[in-house]
Amino acid sequence: MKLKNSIVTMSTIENIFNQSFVDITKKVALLDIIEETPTHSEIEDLYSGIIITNGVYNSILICTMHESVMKEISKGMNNGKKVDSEDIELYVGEYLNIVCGNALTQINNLAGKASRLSVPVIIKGPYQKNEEVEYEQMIEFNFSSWYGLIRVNMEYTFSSS
Amino acid sequence: MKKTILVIDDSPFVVNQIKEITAHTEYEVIGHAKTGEAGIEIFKELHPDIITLDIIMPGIDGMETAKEILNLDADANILMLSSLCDNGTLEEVKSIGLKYLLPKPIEAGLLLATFELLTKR
Repeated sequence: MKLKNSIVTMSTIENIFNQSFVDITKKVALLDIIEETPTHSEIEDLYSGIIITNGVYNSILICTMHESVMKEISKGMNNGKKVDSEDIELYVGEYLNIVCGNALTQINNLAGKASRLSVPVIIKGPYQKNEEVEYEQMIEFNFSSWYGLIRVNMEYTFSSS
Repeated sequence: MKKTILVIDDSPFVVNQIKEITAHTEYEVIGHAKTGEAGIEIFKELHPDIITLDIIMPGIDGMETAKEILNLDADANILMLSSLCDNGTLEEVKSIGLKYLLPKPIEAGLLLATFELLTKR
């Protein structure tokens, strides 16, 4: 299915975000992740990271992961050294910022128009999205790693106006 | 004497990266601020040779922070860092009189080369 701007298709957006998660997680967090078929299995002791974009690409991206994955991501970003518990969320927030910024850079350049990122917010537990805000499309990714699952739910509307 | 750097970024990952890259070089991180507002105050106090500035931060963003710093010192050497490095963002950085926008994650060689370009002006 093509979106309003024919250069940027649903498949393009999906591939860009998928690859950004895999590449940046490896490069920045030194962690290998593999995409898996979404299973909707429970993630216990989960944290949610939320990023919103505004502009030609309006979206909300919610990344949920187990606490052990967060610790491993922050450790990888800190040269293999354990991060103080009060800083883990800052590291994971920056990780999500880099993943989403990397993806959005590509989308913005393809679209020829700008969209902007919010400051990532990390919370304990699931995130209850504001149901009054509706988006046109939805993507879900599941990534597995040695330390647990990373689930990404993204809802978005891509507009050429 | 080492050239001094003020890092304005809410991420400890970034400030640690810059410290690591500049260890054993002619550059030294002398200050870190997590917000633009704090960064402006530290800039007034320390007058660093270089300022690295994140764009997306809580409070005032990097663009507004850069404008404030340039109002204080039009010759301030500011390097913008961002995960968002599309053509539009680059144009916006240029529109406030800055030359350099580097992507995150930071590449060591690129960072040091840009520091050299900045301080040779």
